[in-house]
Amino acid sequence: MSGRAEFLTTLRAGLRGAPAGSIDEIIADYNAHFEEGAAASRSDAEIAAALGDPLALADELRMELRIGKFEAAPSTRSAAQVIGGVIAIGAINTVVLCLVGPLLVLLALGAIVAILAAVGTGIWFLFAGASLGLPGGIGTPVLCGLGLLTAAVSMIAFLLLAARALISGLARYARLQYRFLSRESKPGTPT
Amino acid sequence: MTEPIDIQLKKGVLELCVLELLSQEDGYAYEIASRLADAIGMGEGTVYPLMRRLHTEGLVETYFVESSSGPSRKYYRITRAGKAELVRERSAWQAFTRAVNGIVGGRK
Repeated sequence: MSGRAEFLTTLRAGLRGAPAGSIDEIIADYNAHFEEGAAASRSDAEIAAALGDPLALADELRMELRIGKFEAAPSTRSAAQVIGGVIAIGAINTVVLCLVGPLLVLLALGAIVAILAAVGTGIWFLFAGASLGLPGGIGTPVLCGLGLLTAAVSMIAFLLLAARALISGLARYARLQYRFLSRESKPGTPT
Repeated sequence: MTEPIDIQLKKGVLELCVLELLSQEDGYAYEIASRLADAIGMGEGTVYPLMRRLHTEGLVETYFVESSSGPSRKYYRITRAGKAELVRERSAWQAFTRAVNGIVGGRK
């Protein structure tokens, strides 16, 4: 029984932080695997060795849960969890992260400044634009103001879409990485 | 952190193999895992994260079948979306292997 208990305990420890329901499901899946193996008269130690490193499997399963959660309900929180997971499994080189991360933050800040500026001038046009005495009477500043406000709204929408696409891309990339770079080196050599 | 090239190759085609097996008949994870372990030498544990992902993506669905010995068994069935994905992956695989074979085994 020791091979099984040890495998399942390590797996459960590796999954800590995931939703309890999902952890139970995963543990049940692997326990069923041991049951099936035992019915085929394999020893628990043998089965555990064939399953591979439980910690590497836990990494993969936890990342999968995070990606699934983000795709089902994209939010700042679930996005942060995907990014955190990507960093935790070491899918992204720290050097790349240090270079690209600030760049993305700068880009986002730039977009936010542009949006705020559009909102600000839009409102200004609406309320104070009449004093400019532009040709076309009161209609011109009102239309300018509304135009700038709608531009701001579409920029916000675009920014959100871009962020979502970025995280999804990151998740897909992470998947490739852990399939290639997981701690599991060879089946049959749990550490 | 680097793995031997054969393990990388195997992991890349694992999804295709699972979908291919399920398109032939419904299966349970233990059976799928041991078939893949025998055929391509994968670690049996790898099949579970993959099955969860395929399930989340709606490519497979699960149902339980009562077993005469022990607890009920979780079976996986390929969905319509799964079949469409299989067609895509299969043709990508065939195009890829054809291209690689043309280079690797292309001596006249």
